[in-house]
Amino acid sequence: MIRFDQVYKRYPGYQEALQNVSFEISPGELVFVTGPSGAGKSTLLKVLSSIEKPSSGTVMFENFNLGQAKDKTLNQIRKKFGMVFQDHKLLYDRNCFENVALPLAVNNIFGQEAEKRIRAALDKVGLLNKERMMPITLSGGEQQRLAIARAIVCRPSVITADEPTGNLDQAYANEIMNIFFSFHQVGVTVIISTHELPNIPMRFKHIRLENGQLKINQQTYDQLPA
Amino acid sequence: MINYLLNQLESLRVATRRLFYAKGATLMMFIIIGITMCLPMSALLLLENVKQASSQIEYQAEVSVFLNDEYTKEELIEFEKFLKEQPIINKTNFEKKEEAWLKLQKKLAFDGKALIEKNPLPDSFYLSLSTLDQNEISFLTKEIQNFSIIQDILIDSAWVNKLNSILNLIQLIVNFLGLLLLIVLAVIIGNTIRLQTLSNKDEIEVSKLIGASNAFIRRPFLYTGFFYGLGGALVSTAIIKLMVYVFNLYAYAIERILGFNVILNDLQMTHYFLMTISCIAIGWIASFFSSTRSLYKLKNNS
Repeated sequence: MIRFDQVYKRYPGYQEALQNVSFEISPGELVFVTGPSGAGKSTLLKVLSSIEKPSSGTVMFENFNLGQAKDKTLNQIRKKFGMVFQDHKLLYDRNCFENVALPLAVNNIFGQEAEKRIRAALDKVGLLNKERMMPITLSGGEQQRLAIARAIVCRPSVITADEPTGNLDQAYANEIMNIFFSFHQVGVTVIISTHELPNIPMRFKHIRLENGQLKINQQTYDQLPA
Repeated sequence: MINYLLNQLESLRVATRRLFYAKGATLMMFIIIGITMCLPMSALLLLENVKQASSQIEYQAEVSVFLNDEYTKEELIEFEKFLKEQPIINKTNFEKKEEAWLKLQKKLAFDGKALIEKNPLPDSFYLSLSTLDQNEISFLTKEIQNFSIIQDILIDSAWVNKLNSILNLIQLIVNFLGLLLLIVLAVIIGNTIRLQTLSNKDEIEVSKLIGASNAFIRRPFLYTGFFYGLGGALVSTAIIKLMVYVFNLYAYAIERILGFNVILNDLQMTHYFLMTISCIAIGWIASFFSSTRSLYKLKNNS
């Protein structure tokens, strides 16, 4: 369970990125955070993933108050999140296999178990045949898929994706979204920030932000095409 | 425990990959550290050699005891007995004045009888001492002076004491120089690690995002510092050994010209071991502080 209660986030010298934001996300939910550029979507995901602390208000994750947790606790909490970024944040001096291996090393998983998990993650995103290739040689869509493989390799309970299809054409974007949906279908909480709400045939939660304020917080039921 | 070791191995692998990735810069660092350490090490090499040479002189340090013109055989036996009982006297050599006079004439290549009517030299004892301790020598000379057959005593170890004082002073300067250069080394390694943390900013950022602790991120940098220290120490050892080899190669030529042996003795293994340990420790400590500071800065800037 994730709960935001009257959360504010202010950056020094800037206006408030989040203002009085409150909502709840249940385990296994698929959530879309929408809004125009500068609405506070990325900030919301950062606060939610414990990368940043809220300026005021409460952010709860599995009985932990993220605003008051110590660095050691935050490191443990972050291990439960799989994060995907718009700019991938891949390590370009390491091959695909080594990029996916990084979170496992952080979690002290090595050897055969690590290899098995890395190959499973790469297989899941369709990059198993490219494990020894350097990320720079991959297309934009493939780089994003590699970032997803890195996010899922530690079997996180929550996956957050900050505009994961922002730089991709429609075909690649659909491919990436389908990967996220497949994780949601096996019970993983998936939170995706995007400019516009996608037209998808499944139940999800919609959170819309404008100028840091929560405008829509609703459950959408089976938006099946007509 | 196995996971801990595997984690260490992984950090070691990351560190070695970073070093190999920037081969030129790594080699340059080894050379810089090697040459920096070479300065106090070569001063130490020189000092150790001078010390060894002076220690050989020490055992030849002598006290010359000149006797009166008139003394009885009993007095001489009594004095010889006294000398034999002294623990700080290694060797005693008695020289009759006639013998000394002949030696002097031979050495200076002149006919003494033609110039001087009477032999001016006294009978004498030459004592080789096992110590250079001023108190012990003073005590001995005072004891010797109590004998009525003694005319004069000459202590020719004073210059060795002066030499030892100079060597102690040089030792102090070498230690100070070594300490200064270790600080320089810490600054060089620390700065390099700082630059490395900047060039690996993305990796650090990603690692932090996926929940890596500061210790996990810092570990490869510590190993890098370790390798810088080790590599620098090896370069320094190689330079010193080469220096000794080349010097000794040409020492035979110098020996032919000067007529005495000038072989340079290599430093002991203990010296090389201590130097290597110091370099590694400095590398490790400098890396620790530098990476901790960089992590703190990156955290505040993110």
